Amino acid sequence: MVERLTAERRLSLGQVIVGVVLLASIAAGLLLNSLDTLRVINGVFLAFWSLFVGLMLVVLPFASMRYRMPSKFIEILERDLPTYTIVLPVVREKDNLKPLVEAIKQLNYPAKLLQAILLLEEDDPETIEAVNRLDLPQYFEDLVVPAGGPKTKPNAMNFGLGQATGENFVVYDAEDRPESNQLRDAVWALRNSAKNVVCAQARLYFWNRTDSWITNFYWSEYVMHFEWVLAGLSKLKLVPPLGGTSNHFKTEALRKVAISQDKLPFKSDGYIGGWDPWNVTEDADLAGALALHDYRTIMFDSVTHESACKDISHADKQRRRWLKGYFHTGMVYTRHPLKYAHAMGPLKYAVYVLILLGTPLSLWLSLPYWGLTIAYFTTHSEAIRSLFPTPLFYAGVLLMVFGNLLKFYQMVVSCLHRNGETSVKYMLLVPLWWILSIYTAYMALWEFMVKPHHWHKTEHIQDLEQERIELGLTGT
Amino acid sequence: MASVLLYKIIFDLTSKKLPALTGAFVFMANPNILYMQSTAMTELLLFACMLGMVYSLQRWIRTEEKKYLLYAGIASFLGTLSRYEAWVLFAAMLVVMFYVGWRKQYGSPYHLVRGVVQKRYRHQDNVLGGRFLAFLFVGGIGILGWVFWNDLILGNPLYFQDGQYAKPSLWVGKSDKVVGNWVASFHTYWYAMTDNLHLVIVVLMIVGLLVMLVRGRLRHETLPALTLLVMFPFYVVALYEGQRPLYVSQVQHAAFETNNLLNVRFGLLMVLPASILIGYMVAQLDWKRHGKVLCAVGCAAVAALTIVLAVESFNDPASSIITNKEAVVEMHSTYDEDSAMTSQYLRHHYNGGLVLMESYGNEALPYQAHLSLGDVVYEGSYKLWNPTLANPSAHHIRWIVMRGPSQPDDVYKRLHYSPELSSYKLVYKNPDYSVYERN
Repeated sequence: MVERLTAERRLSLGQVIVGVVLLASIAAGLLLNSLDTLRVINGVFLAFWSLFVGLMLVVLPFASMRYRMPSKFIEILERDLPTYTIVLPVVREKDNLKPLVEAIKQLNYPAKLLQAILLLEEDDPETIEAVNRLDLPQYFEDLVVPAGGPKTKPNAMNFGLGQATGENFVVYDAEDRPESNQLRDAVWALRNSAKNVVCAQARLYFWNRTDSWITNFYWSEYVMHFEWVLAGLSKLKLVPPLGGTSNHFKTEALRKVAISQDKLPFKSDGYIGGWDPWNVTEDADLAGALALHDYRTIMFDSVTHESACKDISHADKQRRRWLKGYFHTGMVYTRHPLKYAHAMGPLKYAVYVLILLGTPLSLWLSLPYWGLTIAYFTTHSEAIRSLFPTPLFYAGVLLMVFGNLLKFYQMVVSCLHRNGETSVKYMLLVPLWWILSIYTAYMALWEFMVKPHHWHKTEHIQDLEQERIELGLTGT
Repeated sequence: MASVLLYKIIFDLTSKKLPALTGAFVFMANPNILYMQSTAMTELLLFACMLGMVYSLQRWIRTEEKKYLLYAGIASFLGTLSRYEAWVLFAAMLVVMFYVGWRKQYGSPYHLVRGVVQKRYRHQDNVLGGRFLAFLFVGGIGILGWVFWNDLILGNPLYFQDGQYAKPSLWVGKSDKVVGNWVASFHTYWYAMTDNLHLVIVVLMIVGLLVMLVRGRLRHETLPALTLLVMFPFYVVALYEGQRPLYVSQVQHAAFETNNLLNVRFGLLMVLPASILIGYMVAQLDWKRHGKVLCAVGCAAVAALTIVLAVESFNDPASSIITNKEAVVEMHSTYDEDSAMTSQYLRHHYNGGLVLMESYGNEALPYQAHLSLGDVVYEGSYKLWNPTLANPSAHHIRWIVMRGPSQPDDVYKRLHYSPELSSYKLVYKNPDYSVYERN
């Protein structure tokens, strides 16, 4: 079995050597024949764009149309229900605790089969105090994560996995509000799927879509990601990078794919490396680990409501973490490409790495290519023309026109898809959204270089009263 | 594809297969439609897109499934990129979509007007607004892209309308009889329509329209199909304004004394509403005792009539099929004989190398001469045309073809008597064309 690696280091020695050789070759090429070298680079980038755009905007959405989610649960006898561990990592979330506990209490699942673990941080006394003040049901436990490891969510979750007694395992964030039948639906979906399906991912939706122009875009992107990209990957039996929360695992599988103790920051039985503690998109990484063991992930028909960041500053930080994490995970999985491709299957591996590396790369490349486009149309420069011999010119034009058009169409369609008609008008602001995304991608690259493990805590400034109204929740 | 869509539109309106087939048959057996299939014109593509718009919007109205609104948008996108007529239909469809959406929400037109006047916006209005914008964005982005493209490539966002080779004044003179004359404009389009469809079919269409208005009572689902009729007034206005060149033999025009047919195929568009309305009309025969028989007889009668009209046309296609006649007449005009002779010369003597010639006004020449378009430098050769006209030998031009002195083209105007021609020798000449080959 292929050894699971961590993101403790940015790059392996092999990757550094390959990078240096590549840069030296480009430099030499530029010195010897700059035009042809630039054309080759341009051709490689356009080939990447073609693959990435083709996969994300054509193949996966089309595949998702044919994806049939497992049905909602019909009937499961109580004695047939598995025990369930719900892990709730909460950091600086004292205001969110009460509604979170309420949401868990509303889950339609026998209390005697539940174990809910609140994961607290040693240096977060406010939340610890707030937990102590709460009147928690009997199946709730709290666990204070000791300092010393990386300050990340996966680090805390590994402690949760160490304490887990449930046959099934799920993680919810503090702002998550899962549908009441979600656990039963997940059990039903896992039970009615192939044996190697060990993870069922619920869809995530934002309930505060209309709060600001930012939340409208967040909402649209989540529809596209969960309904088309992840569902398409499930249909094609590829590897969907998991969505952070609301993925329901068979606990045994998590333990089986765990990172070996010698690579972890804590070496005790109460700490199991289901997640890479240094990885800031730990679930995207875990999806790859499951695939290495020939396990599969499916999407199932249940929704967890979340709240989206309302302003640019918070959105930027959250997306920076996502992009940095995707890139870092991609770099982890390209340390031994042949071994991983062999273990995972070449196509699964190629698509998985393309999504992980392609997501930030496509944004990084957007800047120079938009720059070239604008520069060409303003200056009609011969130098820019010379970079695009006929085949590259047509490929570039097709990608620019149809790639952007298709993306815009999908954003508009996503609004109609889940009754988000009032979001359509915001899609006209798409250039602003793309500028923000490109800026965020470059900041993510910078952070990858200077603080790869830094976890930007997403502040959920939410109006709890509004949330209750939007989600139709009861209680105070 | 257009035939299938016609069938589906009529079937969706009437739930009757035979009338739907009959309506589609009126379209399929139209000799001008059959002729157009043998040409490279974009009309049939436009027709398919227009019918896609009608069918999808009709389905959206009936089912309220949002996917149909998107399909209507995509059909509009493709239609608006194929021909400008679709722009008009798209605008009309936007109005229909908004009107139907609002009526479904508020009922009577009175409430609609009151809502607009009082500016009372509710959540539902935003939902309707969102759907409207989605349709507008998906369908209208082709128009936006076309305008941007004109601006980026040609430096004028409206180049397609007022550019050097697009100006209506190239085709329509102010002295033209239809310009500023409503009656002549109406007559012109009427004759274009009847020439393409045949008067009997037009009469049946009008009867079908009356039937649809009476029996359909302007029900929402009939509106997209009725919207196709907007093309009639559009053409009349376009002719009146001098924006569209359309000549029929029944109305004399000043500009074309020798050839009084031009773009007569514009009238063919009305075959779309005609097919739908006739199909709808025969379906309505099935409403009383023996209705089914009556309906079947009506379908058979329409089909027989369509076949008779088609067969009659096939006996003398050169004069009976108006779109074909226009091409035949043009081919035999004096002007084209010179062009044909020049083509013939080039066909036998051209032995490679770049050819400089203007395309506008000489469109048939390179095809008849069997020249590869890659070897022709013309006004569409990006960034090559003007420099090559200024100095052909420096741009490796081996052959120069020019039209003049009557109706001189740009090559004639720029190079005739020019010292640039000193490195070329005149190898062929007729009253209208000169061909030079490099020494």
